[in-house]
Amino acid sequence: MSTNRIAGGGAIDRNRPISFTFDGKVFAGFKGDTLASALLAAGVRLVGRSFKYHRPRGILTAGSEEPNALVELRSGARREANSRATVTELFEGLEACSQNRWPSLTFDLGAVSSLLAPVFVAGFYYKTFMWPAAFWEKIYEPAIRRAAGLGRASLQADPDTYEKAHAFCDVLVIGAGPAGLAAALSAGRSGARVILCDEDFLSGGRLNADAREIDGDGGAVWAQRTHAELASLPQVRLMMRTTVFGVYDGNTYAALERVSDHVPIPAPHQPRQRFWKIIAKRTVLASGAIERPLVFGGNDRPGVMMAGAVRTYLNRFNVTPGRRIALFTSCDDGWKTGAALAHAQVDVAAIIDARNDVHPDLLAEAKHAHTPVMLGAQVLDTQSARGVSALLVRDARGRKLRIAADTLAMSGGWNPNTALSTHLGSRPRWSEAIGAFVPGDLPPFMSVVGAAAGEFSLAGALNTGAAAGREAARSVGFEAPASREWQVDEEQSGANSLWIGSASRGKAFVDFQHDVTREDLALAAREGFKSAEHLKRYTTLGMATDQGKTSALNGHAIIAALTQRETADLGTIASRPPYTPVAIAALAGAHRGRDFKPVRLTAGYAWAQARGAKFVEAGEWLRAQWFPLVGETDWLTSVVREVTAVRTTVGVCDVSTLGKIDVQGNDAAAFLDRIYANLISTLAVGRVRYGLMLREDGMVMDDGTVARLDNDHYIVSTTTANAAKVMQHLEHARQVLWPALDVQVASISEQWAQYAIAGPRSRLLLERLLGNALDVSNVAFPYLACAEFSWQGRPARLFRISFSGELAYELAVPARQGEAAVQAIMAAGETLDVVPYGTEALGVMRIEKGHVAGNELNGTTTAADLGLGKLLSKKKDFIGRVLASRPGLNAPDRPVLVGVTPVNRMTRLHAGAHFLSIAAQPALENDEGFLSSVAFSPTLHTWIGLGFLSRGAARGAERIRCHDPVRSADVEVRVTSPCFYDPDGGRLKS
Amino acid sequence: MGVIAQVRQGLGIAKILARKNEAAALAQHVQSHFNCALPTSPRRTCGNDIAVMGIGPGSWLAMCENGGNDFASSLKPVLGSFAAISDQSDAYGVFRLMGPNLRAVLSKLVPIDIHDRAFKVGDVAETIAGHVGILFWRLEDIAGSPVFDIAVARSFSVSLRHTLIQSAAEFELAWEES
Repeated sequence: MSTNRIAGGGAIDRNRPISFTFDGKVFAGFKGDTLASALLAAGVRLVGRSFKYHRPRGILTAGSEEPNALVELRSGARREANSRATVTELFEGLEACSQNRWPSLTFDLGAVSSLLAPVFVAGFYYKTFMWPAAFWEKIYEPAIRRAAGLGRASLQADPDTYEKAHAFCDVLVIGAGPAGLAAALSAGRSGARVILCDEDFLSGGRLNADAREIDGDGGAVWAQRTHAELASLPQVRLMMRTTVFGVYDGNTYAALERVSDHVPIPAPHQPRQRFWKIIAKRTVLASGAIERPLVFGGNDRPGVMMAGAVRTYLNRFNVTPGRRIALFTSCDDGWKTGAALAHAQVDVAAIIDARNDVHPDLLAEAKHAHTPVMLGAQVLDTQSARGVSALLVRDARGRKLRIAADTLAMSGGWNPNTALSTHLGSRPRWSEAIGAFVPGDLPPFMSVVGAAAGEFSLAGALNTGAAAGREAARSVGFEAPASREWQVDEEQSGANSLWIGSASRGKAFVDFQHDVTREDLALAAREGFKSAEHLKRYTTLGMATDQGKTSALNGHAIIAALTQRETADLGTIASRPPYTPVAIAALAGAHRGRDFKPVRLTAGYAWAQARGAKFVEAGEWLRAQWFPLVGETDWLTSVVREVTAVRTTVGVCDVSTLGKIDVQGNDAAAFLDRIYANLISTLAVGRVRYGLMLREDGMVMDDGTVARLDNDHYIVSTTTANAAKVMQHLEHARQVLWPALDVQVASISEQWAQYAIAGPRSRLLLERLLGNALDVSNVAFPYLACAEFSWQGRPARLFRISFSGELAYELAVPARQGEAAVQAIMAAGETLDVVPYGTEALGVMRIEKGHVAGNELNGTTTAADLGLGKLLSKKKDFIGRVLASRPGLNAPDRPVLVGVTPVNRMTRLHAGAHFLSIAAQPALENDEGFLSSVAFSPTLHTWIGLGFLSRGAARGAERIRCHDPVRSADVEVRVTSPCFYDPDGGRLKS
Repeated sequence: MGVIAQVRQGLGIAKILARKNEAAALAQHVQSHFNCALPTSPRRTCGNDIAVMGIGPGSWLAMCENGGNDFASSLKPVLGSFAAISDQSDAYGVFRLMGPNLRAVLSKLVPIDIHDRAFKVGDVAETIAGHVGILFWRLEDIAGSPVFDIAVARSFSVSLRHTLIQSAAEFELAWEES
């Protein structure tokens, strides 16, 4: 059983024992323990090895600032590295392992690196790996990467889920210590919406760590009573195990709720963690204070611990970290640990205070407890095997003494925890009164109370908290009832001055997590790195995952002293989010794997799926790419069959993903004339026209069709990729450029399911499908006709347009009818050998026809580049007209759209290949353009390609090369017209 | 049952965009024909067989229970001189959500404040839910629990439904195809 567990009324439940393992050995703890408290109770002092020197390390703190006790938790896919034992809530079966050691924690071969310590000084990397330059990539970087890092990732998929959520409140209180509880209570009683967050699983903060009294009760009892009252208020939300880790603009706060970190496996449908975005009208920061270590030789050994943490383990967890504990302090608060230990009847070896004078009450109390006291003394070194066994102390007269002790508690005073106050850019301000930095300019609508503001007394924390909570609520319209002041037990306002020591023997650590020593800082100062920010980067002080919570101020004070400046003048660094490490999974929330992004499905999706379609992602859409028949094993076979069917019988393709925009209004025609480069206003009702729109800079933006349903009613179609962009463009033009026009635009992309019915038998199919609903004869419904009609009791639209180059139509029906419609099309075409075709066949046929698509409409091409220069109207103004006339966009040697076919027709072409003349060396200066789209044409029995060739229009029938260095291909091709199939368009009009 | 979701079928939905300088006349005609005050903010008002939501300056979405595609065409003779009407009956999947845990579920989906004090009965918002754009509005409470409708572009409705089921799993979700 526990060796170090003592009697007492802490916050552990002795009726609920918990068994766990550390490095494979079974230990026992209680509900309410952290991993750190349970290990200390079991007498485990050595828990890990340090980052750089592999020094043996123990448990330094009792909070989230812990730099040393970083362990791996759990196993298998749930293994997580670098978890702080001090905030790891114990649960039944918890598996913990030490890290950064091999083969074992007690015998670590890596520790030889500490023999090389004189080499691994500040700036080591900068100095060592500069030469020879060629060594960097091959030798130095791989070696450094192997050595870097602490724990090991599981390298398996995380079996747990994560969530994101949003919360809103009038008053956000960060920290549930005495100040935070008081603030939440006064704000909560006003009826305001209050959120109280604390990273701990128990509210009360230091009230659980110190034996204090409020209104005659123990502080921890008061905390639980206050917690209960808050929980009973309907507009108050208590969020324990929740760390507010970032402050952002717009009163936005990021918080991480550890929903299931304290259980072996999350309950059904519960996430492991939940990432909260909190929007708060007012915020009260009650984040407390963090105790400063002292910098002396051997201060990193297992058994050296923060004095405040010792009290936490004593009072909250009923654990004494040792049997004979010495105390080294430079402030009054450290003495409280001596008193607490004496009260718990733990042997106090000595209280060693660096100051020559201390308050007489402290001396009297120590004397009463028979504790030896040494003033004006300091610890020079610690002696240990795997934990402290003795201290080397220099007394006020310069004598060196050895004091036997198994634990050394140290306190250099307390630093207000200013981190969240600096996230928006302000710097902490030096307070001479408390010898520490306090929050500077606060983020908007934030106030700071209690120890975080440098108010270290309990009465001060309660009163500033209550006042700030009341004021925050009042400022957003909620009046809190007046409350009386709390009565607290007597307390001295302890001196908290900063003392950085000087002499030491052996390594004196400033930053424990990154192994930065006093000597490193001295070296940095000698080499000229004297500002806080330079020092940080050169020595890595404060750059570990703890962001220097325990080390930054000591480091800055030491540098200030070395360079004869005041700490106030040197300043300190600003923290950045996240306050403590946050798993990427929590930020991703549910959006991972197949849920990484949403998927858009057309109305015909289920039909296509039932037909065995292979789908392709087109933006968010899933589109049928081809429809393999039984026995077809490669895509080309299917695509060739689909193309052949459309060219000889009839095919149907789901084109619902194309953008469709409804444009209405008395000025709709004038509006579209300005949007499109070609004339639209002359289009007759019942007709469709191809339209090309330019960007303001003269490049082509998108193309599509415009159908005129009525004098004041048009339907604009866009490419799938540009649907949203064109809609935005039209809204911008309507609202911003020409607000005087009477134009209304509405996206109808989602309203209509649309199917292309293409091929020589398409009219026959439509006649069977539509019956008397619409006359589709060539006379009544010629090429580029459109109509609105009623079909099967519902509205429908038919457009005689063709992307494939065949006689073709597009039928639009309300999306709810989409699936039924495509089934009806298939049924009507059954005896006509109708075939569904996908985007691949669509692509092959448009390349055969020389139609441009996304590969050509790539944002760098002009209308003339695409062979569409004649479309630019000279009779009107339109978006892009002026800049399209820039000389560079009209240079005669610009690459323009051409077709190419390989001289050996079965030689495969690759899009992306560069055009070179036959004899040219493959070099950039000889580049004449590139191949943008390729396909195997089953119609022409050859590979074909579209591309942009310099002076292409004048190079008909010339032979050139398609050079593809990426795929080592060099193919001789013949330049042709981009239209390979039915160049006079006879089939369209048949 | 923490949350109940119902798929709303057969709705007639139409977008109404006021023609230039005709917003006042439009409001007048909506009032006289449907006994419905055209909202001038993101609010939902009800009239005879119609509910109208303000979704932007000069722009509304009108809904009619079981109105189908005929609803939009029936609006044209009445309002066509003052507004462009476009049928959107098929453009949205509409889910009705209710139940005691609904706000907890919605807080995982939408980044806006849906507290009783902040989002009142009749309020309308255009926002996102799980990376998908949605329009949603609050209806009268049922048995002390809030009721919201969510309209999502039809092509996204499978994705949103999946997100909804995931988010509501901890409270038990009953899915009703009405």
